[in-house]
Amino acid sequence: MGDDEHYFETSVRPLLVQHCFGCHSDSAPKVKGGLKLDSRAALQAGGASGAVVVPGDPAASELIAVLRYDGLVQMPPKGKLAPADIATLEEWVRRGAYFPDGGAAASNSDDAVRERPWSFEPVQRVQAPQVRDELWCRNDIDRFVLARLEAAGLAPAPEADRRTLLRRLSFDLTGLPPTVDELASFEADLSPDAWAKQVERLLASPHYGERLARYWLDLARYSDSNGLDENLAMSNAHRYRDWVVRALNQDLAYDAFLTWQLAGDLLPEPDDEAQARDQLAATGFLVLGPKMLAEQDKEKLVCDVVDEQMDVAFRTFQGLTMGCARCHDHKFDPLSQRDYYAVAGIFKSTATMANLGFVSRWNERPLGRAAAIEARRAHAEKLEAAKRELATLRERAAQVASRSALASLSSYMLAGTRAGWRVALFEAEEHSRGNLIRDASQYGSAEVVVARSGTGGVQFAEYDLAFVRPMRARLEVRYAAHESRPMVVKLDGRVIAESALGEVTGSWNPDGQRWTAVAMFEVRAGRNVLRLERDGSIPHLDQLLVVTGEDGAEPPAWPLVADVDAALAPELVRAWAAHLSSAERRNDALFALWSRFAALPETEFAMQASALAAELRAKRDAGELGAWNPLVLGLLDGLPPQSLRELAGRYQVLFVAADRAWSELKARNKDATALEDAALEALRKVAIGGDSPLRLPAEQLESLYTSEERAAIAAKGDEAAELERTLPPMFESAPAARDADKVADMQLLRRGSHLDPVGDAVPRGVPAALASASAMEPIPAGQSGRLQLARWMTSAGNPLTARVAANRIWQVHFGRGLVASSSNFGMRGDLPTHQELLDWLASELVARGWSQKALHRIICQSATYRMASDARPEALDKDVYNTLLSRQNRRRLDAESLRDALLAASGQLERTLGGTLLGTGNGDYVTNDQSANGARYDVPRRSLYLPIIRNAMLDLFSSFDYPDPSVTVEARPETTSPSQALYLMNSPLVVEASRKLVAAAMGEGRERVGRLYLAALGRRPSAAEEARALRFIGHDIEQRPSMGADVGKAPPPSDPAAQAEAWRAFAQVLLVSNEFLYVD
Amino acid sequence: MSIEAMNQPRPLFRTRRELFRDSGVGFASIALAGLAKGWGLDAENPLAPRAPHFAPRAKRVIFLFMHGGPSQIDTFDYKPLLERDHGKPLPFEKPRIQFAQTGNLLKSPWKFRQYGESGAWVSELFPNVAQQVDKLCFIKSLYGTNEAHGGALLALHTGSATFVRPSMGSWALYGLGSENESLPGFITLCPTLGHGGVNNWSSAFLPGIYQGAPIGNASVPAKQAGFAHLTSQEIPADLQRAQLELLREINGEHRERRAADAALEARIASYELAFRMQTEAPGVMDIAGESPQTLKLYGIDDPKTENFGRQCLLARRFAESGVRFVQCTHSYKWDQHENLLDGHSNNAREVDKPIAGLLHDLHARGMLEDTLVLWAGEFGRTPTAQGENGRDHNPHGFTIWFAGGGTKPGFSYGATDDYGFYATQDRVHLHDFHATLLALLGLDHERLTYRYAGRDFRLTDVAGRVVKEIFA
Repeated sequence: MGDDEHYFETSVRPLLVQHCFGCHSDSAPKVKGGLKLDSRAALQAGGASGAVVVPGDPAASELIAVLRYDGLVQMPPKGKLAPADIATLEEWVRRGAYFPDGGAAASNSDDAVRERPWSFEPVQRVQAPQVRDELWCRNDIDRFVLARLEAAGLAPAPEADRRTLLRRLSFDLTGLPPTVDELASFEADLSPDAWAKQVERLLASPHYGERLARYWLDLARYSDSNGLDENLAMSNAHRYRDWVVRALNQDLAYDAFLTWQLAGDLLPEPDDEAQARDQLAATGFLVLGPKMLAEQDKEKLVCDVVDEQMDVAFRTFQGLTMGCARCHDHKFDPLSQRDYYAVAGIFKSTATMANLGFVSRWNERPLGRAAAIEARRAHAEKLEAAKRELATLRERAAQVASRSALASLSSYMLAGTRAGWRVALFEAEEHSRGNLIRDASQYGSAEVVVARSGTGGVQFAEYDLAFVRPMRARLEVRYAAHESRPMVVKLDGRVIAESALGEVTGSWNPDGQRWTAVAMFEVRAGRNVLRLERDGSIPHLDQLLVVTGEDGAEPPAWPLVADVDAALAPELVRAWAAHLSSAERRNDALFALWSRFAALPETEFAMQASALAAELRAKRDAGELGAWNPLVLGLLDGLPPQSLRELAGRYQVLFVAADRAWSELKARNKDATALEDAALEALRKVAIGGDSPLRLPAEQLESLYTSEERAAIAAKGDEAAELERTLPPMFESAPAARDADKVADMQLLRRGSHLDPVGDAVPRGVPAALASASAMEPIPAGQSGRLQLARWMTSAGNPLTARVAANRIWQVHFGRGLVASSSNFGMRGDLPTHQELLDWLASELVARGWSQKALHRIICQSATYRMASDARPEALDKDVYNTLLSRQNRRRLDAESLRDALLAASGQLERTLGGTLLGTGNGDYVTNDQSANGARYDVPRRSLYLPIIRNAMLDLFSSFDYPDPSVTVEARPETTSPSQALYLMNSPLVVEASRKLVAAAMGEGRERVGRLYLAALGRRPSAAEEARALRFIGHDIEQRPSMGADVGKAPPPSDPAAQAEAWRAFAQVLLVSNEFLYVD
Repeated sequence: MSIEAMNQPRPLFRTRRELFRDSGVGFASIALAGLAKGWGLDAENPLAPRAPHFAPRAKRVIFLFMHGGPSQIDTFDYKPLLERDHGKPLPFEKPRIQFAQTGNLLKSPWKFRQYGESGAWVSELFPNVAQQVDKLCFIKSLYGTNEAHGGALLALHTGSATFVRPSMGSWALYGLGSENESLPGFITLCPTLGHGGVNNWSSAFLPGIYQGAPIGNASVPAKQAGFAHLTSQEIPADLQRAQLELLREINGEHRERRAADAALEARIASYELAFRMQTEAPGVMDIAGESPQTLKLYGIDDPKTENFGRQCLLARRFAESGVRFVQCTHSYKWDQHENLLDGHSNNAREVDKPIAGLLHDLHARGMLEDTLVLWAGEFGRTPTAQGENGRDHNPHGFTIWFAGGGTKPGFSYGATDDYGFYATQDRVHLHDFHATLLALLGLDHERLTYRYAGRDFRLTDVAGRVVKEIFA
């Protein structure tokens, strides 16, 4: 790139794209003033008023004048450019206003004029070249490589020794070191196909899929959590990961591998159940990206998700950086902003998100065949219907029951009052001591009190109970809980219930409140302290009842008193007892009168009642009882009640009247919410309103159901139970894509801003510069176009797909692709070091039915692969970075291989395939300051299965160059840092591995040293190494004052602890040595 | 590992000179050259101090991060009209996107007063910082775009609310290198794991050596926080020394059997670096030698201020040791959607004295000249009420302050509207803030770029104006 061109591309074009092309280019919705600035020709032609640029003379150029806001015409109209930007454009004009040929391509989709990268040309399969040293060559790969070496005057490195070769091949294909036996058997195998057998063995290993999957997962930015702002667990993501392993092990053709990930859900459903599941799970590729779930501008969220998706998809499958064209035409590649929105329309027509709530959720799908999923859904719907009907039946029966209870209201009042002599009621928030607060705003009406703590840590409430003599008592609590939060209950510091109130009641709200008996305990005379506590959040407490027995007897079951009407429902009696007790304490307007009369001794009731009535009448008439309910005060008129039962009867008349008035009102006006008469309304609320003690959850009123109701409920219950029993198991669910309900083309967004759409919608399609070689099939109506996109990518005319795939496979075996920037095949990517070889490999991949294993096989069998990794001086001289491949590349074990190798060498590795170690519920927060990360890392499974938590990477991973799991990564970097050294010196993983390694290596002295070398390094030690090892172990014991009882005095060599520690320390050194860490 | 064990006479690598002789080249250069393999940076030492683009005002940064979003109108941005119009509706439109719904104007429960020669208004939340107010340089017109914590944290730390990008500490280290070979150049004390977690101190696509080294995290008290794997509780120091000696021998033989390879050399050298870190880090982190007066100055004698005070003191000690960028985090506490009165009182109480102590101490040691202290949350809060006693997130106008590092002392730049909702005068976008921060360090934000995936990235994306007005 020349200076002018560089200056134009880096400084000028971005300004033109950003500030001018919106109105002055082919891509502008409407070209203003007939002026276009997007090509050399357009610039020369100028606008309506002629040329606006005089090359070399900024002062004479109108363009500069309008930018400076010097005259009437001021551009851009929205605001003057920054002085530095104007200066840049002046400088550009001064230098001659260079504009590259084909400049127009930058602003529209005419691909003919913009410079095309090499990779856009068709794949050319050429004959392998002739080489001088034909004997060295094992296949065509070697001829391509050798021809270049010979031309450069370099010889290929000799073949590596067998141990090195098998170690290299094992790590490349399985990510694991060869076992001692495998090494021995290969070294002993003198047959001509010994190497081929090893290649086949490892390609067939289930660990092959695990190893190659890891590379793929880097590209797919695989993670088990969302990361970014709301780090929610993606607990089903592992199904995508496990599918990748399976697909690679089964050698699923790469074109299918690609298509399933982009559009598996849009393919015809296969007969095979497993494949149907896999095709859906594969689309997890689209969904796994990090998302700003709490972004409140939901349209922006959607656009960002689309951007992330297509950027990852295009880098991974096409080696193109499409994301660059979101805000402006791609600065280097022939990808216009229009191209971007053509592709973006396809992804925007895809439902990646399940909802766009406050914290949005990604889409998941059940995995299975559509018919089976539908059958289960229908079945579940029937079950739900049956449950609903059951609830309706119960509800109706309960309504009938509570209405009929209204007819017995006087009995309930009486029973509740008499029960009240045995109970003490506490409102939960009226604790004597505690840190619970009253919360009437978040979880219910102001009338209902929910108690919870305002702080974290231990939350508690204490209630002082006073008794005149020792008694047996029972604690009952009314609470609501949507999740289990069991509490400890203590009396005077002694635990009386370890785990109470742990049952879930359905919700946090008042409608979820239930009474439950908590504990039976002894109280003593005087003060007793009842304490409820929990370390952490608590259920929402409403009321506590302490029910006592008499004279040491057990507190009786509800309704507590023996002589009440047997037809009364115990639950309702309790509700009335609580209600009246609470009413009495509140001096309730309705029940103040009742409380006065109830306080009269039963035997002298009639006598004292008339005096009380007279007294209250007098007060009433004096206006002293203004707070009391006037209708209730009316009960004082006429003859005084002869018994409490009679007064209850009078109350009942009032309640029934209120109920009747309500029925009449509702008949007239079904939207009515309250009776007009406040006094009557107050009565109604207690009779039949939401807070009525007669209104209990339906299942608590069963004792009042009629036999017909019982029969109907039982029948419906059986039906529901049967449906439940026969319900097919839940389909496993996984992050997966589907087409959006509304598919549509996108408008171009100026500067990528969703707030600034311009022009007509861009028809969905593929980048124009690539469409000429292979057009995309038309998108069927109502579909997103993902399937057509995938078919286009895998079509014969697409020049990128096979090249990118073949290059990635090459990278596995040489640590670097033939194109080093393996996800960027554009103008700014690296050029191929061996383009003909790459094309040969790409065409070979396609010719072999897109079999990835076939390509691995060819590469591994080449002489090129089998070269030693040592650089000879002449090679360093001529080709320091080994781009010509005169040797293999030495590579450090990556984080996973390092850990796996440590586990394998120390005999700990557990080789189970698949599954998850995440330990956090799907969609729950994985890690933040408040919650603990439930992921398990202390399991000797392969590292592939360790949870990948965005925002909280395992230290092993972050130290050893594991890529950021939020972005697609084309290759692992290979750094050396002190934090790696510290990890190898001090981490429990390494220390434990060395301990296990020593434990497995039996024997003494030289024999044991030999075993350690074999297990750790796959070879026997030399005599010198043996001697040094023994010296270290002996020397070490002498030097360890801390192990001896007496500082400074050497402990006896037979001290088993010191011996073991010395051996362990030695084993650790082997495990962290360069020989272990590097693959030659 | 104890200090005593470190000081034993027998050196780990015989002598430094011997080591140099062995490898034939300067040790550090080999070691560090190898560290960057994979980025095409092999030729240079990626952590060596590098010349800035122009004369720097500050050499290092101490960033005091108030996670959750402290309220500007209750701390430093005094709004008399807010008090006057308490309970009335906001007389202009609220933003298009709001995190939560808010009601009418809510006056600050705290009294404001002017302090110092500069006469800056400070609320009674910060009585100690108020005494240092003549050292501060306020920006009262900062604004961002993201109204949720996650996006706002990332935007503040990395310049992008949407994508994973290198954090400002990583950019600073990448631009300037480290002045200390034995400590990481970018340290974050007790960082939060939520709201982006590691992304807030990660180097993203910059080489991993530029990522922040966390010491503990927000759920661990500062007293217990340390570098990961710095030492092993299981391996006694003298045994580890013997191990390292053996390892050096074994690796040396391994290397000799092979042709020259910088990576193998670097690996050998990395153990020396690690050993030096083991030697140096505990010393820097051990505050036992600080005087009782100093501990008191930072509030380490008071359980309420101990945690943040310890962070501030460690920040000073790391700054003294040449660490380029140190971040202290007062974790997710400032998010008072409700309970503003108690919440902010408590939060301010925890940080006020430590911050004032740090400012005083840096000044007394002459370090404030070239140390830039930055105080900021991810956004401010609304002047309108959420519930009865709370405020919602507000990225549209909030206050941060600098101290030292070549900023104007006792100065205030920019302003919000009469109620403190929007930045209105001399608005400073987060990109401008980042451009300014880099400029104070002598870096041109447009020239500090890194090529990744075919594009030259910078901290300020394609924007950013250096707010030169705040330069002393």
